[in-house]
Amino acid sequence: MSDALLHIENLRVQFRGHEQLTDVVRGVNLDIGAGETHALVGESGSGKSVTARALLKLLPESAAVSADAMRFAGQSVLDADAAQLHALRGGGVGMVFQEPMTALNPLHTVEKQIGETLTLHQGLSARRARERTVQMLERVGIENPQLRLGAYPHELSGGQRQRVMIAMALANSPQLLIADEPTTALDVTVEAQILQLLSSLQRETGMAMLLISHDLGVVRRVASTTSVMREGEIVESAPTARLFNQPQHEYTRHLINAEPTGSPAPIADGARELMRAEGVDVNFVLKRSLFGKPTVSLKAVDDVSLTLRAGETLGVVGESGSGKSTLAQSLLRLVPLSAGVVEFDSQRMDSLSAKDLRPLRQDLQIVFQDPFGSLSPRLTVAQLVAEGLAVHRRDLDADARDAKVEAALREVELDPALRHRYPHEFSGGQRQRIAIARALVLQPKVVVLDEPTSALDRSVQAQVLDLLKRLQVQHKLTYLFISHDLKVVRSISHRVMVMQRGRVVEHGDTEAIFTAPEHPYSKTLLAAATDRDLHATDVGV
Amino acid sequence: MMSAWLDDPIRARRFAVFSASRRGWWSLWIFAVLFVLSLCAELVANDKPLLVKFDGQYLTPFIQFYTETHFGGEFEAEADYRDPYVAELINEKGWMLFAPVPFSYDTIDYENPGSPPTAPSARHWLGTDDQGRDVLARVIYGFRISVLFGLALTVASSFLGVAIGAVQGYFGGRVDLYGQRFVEVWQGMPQLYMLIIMAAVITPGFWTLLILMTLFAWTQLVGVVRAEFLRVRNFDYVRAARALGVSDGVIMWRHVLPNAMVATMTFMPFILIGSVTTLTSLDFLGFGLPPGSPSLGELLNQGKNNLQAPWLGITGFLTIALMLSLLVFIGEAVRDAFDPRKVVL
Repeated sequence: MSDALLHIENLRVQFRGHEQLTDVVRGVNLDIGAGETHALVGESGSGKSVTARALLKLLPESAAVSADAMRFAGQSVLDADAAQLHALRGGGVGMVFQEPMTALNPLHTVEKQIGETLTLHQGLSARRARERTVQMLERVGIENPQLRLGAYPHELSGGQRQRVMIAMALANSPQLLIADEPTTALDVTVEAQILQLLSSLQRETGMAMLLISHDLGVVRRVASTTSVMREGEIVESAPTARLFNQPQHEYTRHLINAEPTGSPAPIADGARELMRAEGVDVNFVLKRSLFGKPTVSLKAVDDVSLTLRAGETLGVVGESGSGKSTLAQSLLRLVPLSAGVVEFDSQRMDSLSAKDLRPLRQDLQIVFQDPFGSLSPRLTVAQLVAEGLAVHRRDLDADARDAKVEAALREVELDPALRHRYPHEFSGGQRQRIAIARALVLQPKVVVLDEPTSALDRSVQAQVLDLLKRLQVQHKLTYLFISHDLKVVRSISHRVMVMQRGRVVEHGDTEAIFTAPEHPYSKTLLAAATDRDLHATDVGV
Repeated sequence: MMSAWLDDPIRARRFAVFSASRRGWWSLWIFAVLFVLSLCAELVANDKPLLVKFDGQYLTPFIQFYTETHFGGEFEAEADYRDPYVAELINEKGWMLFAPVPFSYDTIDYENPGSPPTAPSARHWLGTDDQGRDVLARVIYGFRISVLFGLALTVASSFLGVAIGAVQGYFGGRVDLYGQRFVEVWQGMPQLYMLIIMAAVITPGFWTLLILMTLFAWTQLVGVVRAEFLRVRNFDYVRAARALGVSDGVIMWRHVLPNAMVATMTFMPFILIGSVTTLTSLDFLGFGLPPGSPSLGELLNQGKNNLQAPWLGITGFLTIALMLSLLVFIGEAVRDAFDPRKVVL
């Protein structure tokens, strides 16, 4: 396949750490033909992004890159000099990154970001560059491009920013577009739009695309060929439809089967009401007058009421910024309420002082989204898990406390012998288990799960969900489960609440909402989430 | 002990980076040796003998008080061992062992030929100052008092600064607003003139000077510590701790402070350097330690007043330059060791 647009043979990347070399990519072969969409799938740390960056020589100096051959459009990239590399980056190959907020320079306007690549690579005059920029913005679906030229990245929404990134990458009509997790940071409805945009642009220009993703749904929808990566190697590569229908490698099957399925265990009839919230408002003051009077404020949570029965899971879904997390934190009084009533076990808790609230904290626990951020990096696992015990179980001596910690770790299927290690020695899934153990050790009644699986790989996600379901049955726990991932919510929740801009737009039994949503917003949300699957069957057939 | 301390991987990496910086590592050792030597200044430079054998008894006059009559002299006052008469009395019935520099910082050498300041000689390796005191002895004692004062000032002002910055950053809002305005007003006061005015009202001594200077030095760390607390207080692990019902004090101590300590540790050597410099300049101006105390600033001032005796100014300059250079090198190595870009896990 020497006529391929991109030809990589036996690519190896090693990172020099202190005292040792780590193999990140071990012998990857990749061929992408003109106009083809090739997807690279794998879990985090499998070397997908490093492979893509090695193509453009964008890796840090600590990386040693070697390959038997690495050719782009017949030209070797390996021994390209600075001028050739310059022509390659942003010229022949465009790149779209995962997080558009950090990939765009916050101090430059949209015009400058896109115009820069135009003047650099094509030597266009300022006026011509501006015309071309407007064209590009139009093409990526930005409304009123003339007006948007002067906008800074923070003035754009996440989807718009990603569109600007795409416009930047496409400005010099590249032959190959590398899209590194282009939709991971976006909401489902926006994700669907961006994917559509990418495939239509590809059809128009005939460029090839290397799509890097951990999300099988995305890959299945867009890619013509898919390669599965694990631990720096490609374990299977096949046309997408065949790969999904007849996966050859065991790991591919594992990935495909890791999609969350199942439903929650039924709850006992007549379970009592454990927690109730009525008319909860949370306002954030954005501006104050000279005398400290709030003049501009944002209603993050607007008149939300909910009930939680013992042993049930209430799923809260919505896009980012819809107020899900703020609601959860306000129920636990981690964020002050502006109005409303919160009752736990028939006891008003919105009016309690911080001191009177402390005993209640034992019954109300929270698990956060990011297992890297929610564990203090300077404490050992044993110290982390025991922290709540030190507050609420002063009757326990050191040995009894240690026994409790061990039991909690065993409960979340972690080896208690590891409890003297620090969090950074654990993987994402293990860290999330530690966070769950920390909440469980106090034997709480209600656990708020704030996107507990969003930062995890699919296969780890499934394990954590199973664990949560098992613990719920065993300890009769009540969950408030927050997620933007509808599949996950469906597999664990008894009831679902859909939030939009701080308000609850729909509320009901999980199956009812998923099969027959009533509110238009719920419909869009569901359509966006299931859209991929519809397309996938199209491709599959 | 050391290996247990290094068990923590971050600490071990930091230590490795620090010791890999050869300049910082050697500066630390040289400084440590000099500092330990100066801590034992009484053993290095003293006008009383370290050991006396008299009448079959061993005596330690540099710690113990002996009257002249003890050795068969006439006065009931402490024996002046440098007096030829007393020396003769002792040498008749035993011997005396003097420190390598047989002068203390306040010993006036009346036996020295010539009028002070005298040039370096075998008797006074760095010469004498304008009152006939041994310059080397004064440098040794002056180095000690400078470093000790600097350390004490650094610890005291860091302690205050970290505590105040922590409270401001953690609670934010009104506390932070008023705290910051106060810090700004306080920093606006001209420190040196305030100290000079205060020195006119109360007689400055080691401790009064320390308290006065702490009053002005604590603001240095407030900014960084406050910023660090503002950043970390919204981290998930701090929220998680609050959800567990952990009290504010414990959260600040266990979860937030370790983050702020990185910035603090990075700043500390430079605060120490600043403290030493401030003391020296006050001494130079004559508003520092009480007259007669061994001080590098006072030595510099003598050098200025006695240009015909260049050994005064040169010694003062070289001592201060060496001390500050060593501290800067150590500080740079510490800063690199705490730099997250250099210490990757």
